[in-house]
Amino acid sequence: MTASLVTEPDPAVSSWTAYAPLDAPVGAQFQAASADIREGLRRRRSWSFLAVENVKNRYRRTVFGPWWLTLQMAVFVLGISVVFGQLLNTGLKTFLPYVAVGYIAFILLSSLTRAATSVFITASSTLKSSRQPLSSLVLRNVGIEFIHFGHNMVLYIPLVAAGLVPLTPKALIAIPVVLLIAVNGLFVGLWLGPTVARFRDVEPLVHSILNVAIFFSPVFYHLTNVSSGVRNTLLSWNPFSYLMNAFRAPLIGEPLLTSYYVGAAVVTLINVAVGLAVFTWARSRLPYWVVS
Amino acid sequence: MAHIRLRDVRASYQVLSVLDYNLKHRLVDTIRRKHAPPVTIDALASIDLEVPEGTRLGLVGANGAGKSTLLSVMAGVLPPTRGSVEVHGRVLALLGGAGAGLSQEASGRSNIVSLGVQLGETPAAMRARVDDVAEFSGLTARIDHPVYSYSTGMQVRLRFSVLTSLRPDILLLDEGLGTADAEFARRADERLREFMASAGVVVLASHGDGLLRRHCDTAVWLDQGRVRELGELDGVLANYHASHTVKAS
Repeated sequence: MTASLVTEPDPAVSSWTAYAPLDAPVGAQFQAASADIREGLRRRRSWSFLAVENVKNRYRRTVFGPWWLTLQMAVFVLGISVVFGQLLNTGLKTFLPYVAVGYIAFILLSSLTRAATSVFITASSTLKSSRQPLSSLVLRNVGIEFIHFGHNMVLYIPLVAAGLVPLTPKALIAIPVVLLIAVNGLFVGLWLGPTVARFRDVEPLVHSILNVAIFFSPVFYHLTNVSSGVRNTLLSWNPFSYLMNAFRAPLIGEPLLTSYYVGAAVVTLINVAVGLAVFTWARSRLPYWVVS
Repeated sequence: MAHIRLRDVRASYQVLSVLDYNLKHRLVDTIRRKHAPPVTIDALASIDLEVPEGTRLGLVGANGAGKSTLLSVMAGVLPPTRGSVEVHGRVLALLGGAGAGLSQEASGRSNIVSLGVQLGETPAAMRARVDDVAEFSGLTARIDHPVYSYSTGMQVRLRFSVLTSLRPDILLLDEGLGTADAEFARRADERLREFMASAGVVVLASHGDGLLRRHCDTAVWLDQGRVRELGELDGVLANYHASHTVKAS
């Protein structure tokens, strides 16, 4: 039979058809999935508010709030720069901004991925209680990670003030890269979230990959420090390294290699394609996987 | 015009064991060609139901008859595995566990705002009515305490107060306010009556005849995911109770 779903709530609440019955054809499933994403994006005031509330609640009983993370980040970056700078015989003046900006970007990317794994499992009680676009749950998480990222980026100010990085108009290239990372954050949640909701052992698998990912990403060492063999095999297969390099290079005044930006675009395209495919398959099925 | 129309709605759950949730296990089974699809249960077998404006519908039936699943489908929380669901009007549902959708670390007051925002209101609109909702909930000074310190009944009161303040066209209640105290139940009754006077739709699943009689005039008796009887409340309740006295004797 032709399956259909019509929802027509009052206009103030918006009208959207975010799921199709499970026996609906792929076309209808895709329409439902994209309606969910559109409705999620439209509700930006809602999820951005909930993201801020989440961060506030998490740090309610602390004095410095999310600034604790920034402080930890500052201490860690300083320590690592001193130690690795010595080991690799690199001057602290160039190495410190390299590590600081790279590490901040890496933490953003890995936190987005980590949050993507558990998004629908932790929100299962919300999913059971009210109808809402599933994409808005992912977007809320993206919002939370970007709030942390915003706090961490404050560390860029002393680097500029100390004259360790040249502040040129080229630095503005980092802004579209940040937007690209946000897009990746949404779509990684739309495929990794449902995958983990269905196959729970994928979550520890992803976490263990993330734990070693930093060693395969040029955060604590420079790409010129490793042999071209290592560079081509390990690093070219690492999606994080493209986005990280594309973000870091303009901010610390390094040459903007075409490979960074082409790589970042390719990573994003693959991620969006996989995200749309998996979310189309999973949108209507997902509630059944998390209710039990 | 608030109404709900279900046509040939089926909702089948797969009973997923721990191993079914395991990708490695699934891959190994698929390679060995031993993969057996998980058992499915038809929580709703085939439901055709029309709930027109102004209906006060009670859902009765044994445990596992499909009452909660039917509410989840009407709420748009659970997509049907087959069939069509038409919902006209703004639906709000008190479903799931007591604290479903609440943020446990946040205060009752901040949950009023977040819950409303989750349900599609703007933060400003929710801040404007936070005092009214807090007052209706009757949580007095506790409203500023974190929700994890609340009892089950208090959490339900908070959610009910938020939901009904949003003026839904269709209100879905699972076991109503079973855990709320008598004083709050009385005020909730009043609010439900006001709501029904404005010709909304209420669907209430309950095992309590008293609750059903107070709020409903029509009832559906669900039996193993099917509509066994649809009609005037007292008649349906009488037949439903008669069915298990016959079985018992």
